[in-house]
Amino acid sequence: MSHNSRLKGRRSKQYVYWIERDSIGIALHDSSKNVSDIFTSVKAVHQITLFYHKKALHFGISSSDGSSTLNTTGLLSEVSELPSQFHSCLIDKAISLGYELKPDMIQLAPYFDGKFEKGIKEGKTFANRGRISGRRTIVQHSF
Amino acid sequence: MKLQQMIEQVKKHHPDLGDVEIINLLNQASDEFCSRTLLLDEATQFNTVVDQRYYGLKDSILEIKSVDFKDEEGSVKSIKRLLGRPEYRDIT
Repeated sequence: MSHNSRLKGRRSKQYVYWIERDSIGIALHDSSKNVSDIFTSVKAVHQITLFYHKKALHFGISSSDGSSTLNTTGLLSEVSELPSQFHSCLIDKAISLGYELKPDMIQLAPYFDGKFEKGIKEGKTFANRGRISGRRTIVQHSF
Repeated sequence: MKLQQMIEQVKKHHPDLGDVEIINLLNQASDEFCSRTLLLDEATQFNTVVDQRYYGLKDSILEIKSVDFKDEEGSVKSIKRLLGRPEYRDIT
C-alpha cells in the first residue's frame, strides 16, 4: 500500500483552526466524509482560549479593543505595557521619527534609530529567553 | 516610566512638537517594537456560537501561538492549525 493511500485511508475527526480575513475559523475536520462536507461548523457552545502575541495598548486609549478614543483623564501618568527597560527605546524611536520630520536635521535620525535597533535586538532576546536563565532542557516527544 | 516623563525626554530634542504629536510618535514606536520583538503575550477566551465558523480577531493581535478547545466532557486540549483553508468555503 502506497504512502498516499495509507493517508487517505486514515480516519481522523478533530477540531482545527485557521486564519482568514482577520478572523479565526474553527471547524470539525472529518476525513471520512466527502470533500464538500469534510469541514463542519461547531454544533455546540465550546470555550475557546487564544494564546497570542500582541501589540502594547496605545497611550491615550483606555479600552483594550483598540478603539481610538483619546483618554485625557490621567493620560500623562500612563505607563507602557512593555517592560520598563525598553521604555527608553520608544523614546529613541520617537526622537528619530521627530528628526525625520525636519529636513535640516534629518542626519541625526540614524543615530537614534540605531539605538532603537539595539533595543529591538535586546527585546528579541528577552522575548526568546522567556525570563528564564541558564541551561535549557529539551523534552523528548514520540511521534 | 510615565508618559509625561517620556514626552519630556522627546521634547528635549523636539521642543516644537506638541504632546499629541509626540504621543502619536511613541505609539508608532511601540507598535514597531512589539511587532518586531513579539515581546508581549496574552490569552483571551470566548465561546463558540452554534453554526458560526468565523470569529473576529482584535487589531492588537499580532500572531496566534496556539488555540485551546474545551470539549463536551470539559477537557481542554490544544487544537491543530489547518494549513491553508477549507476547499469549500462557508462564510458564516
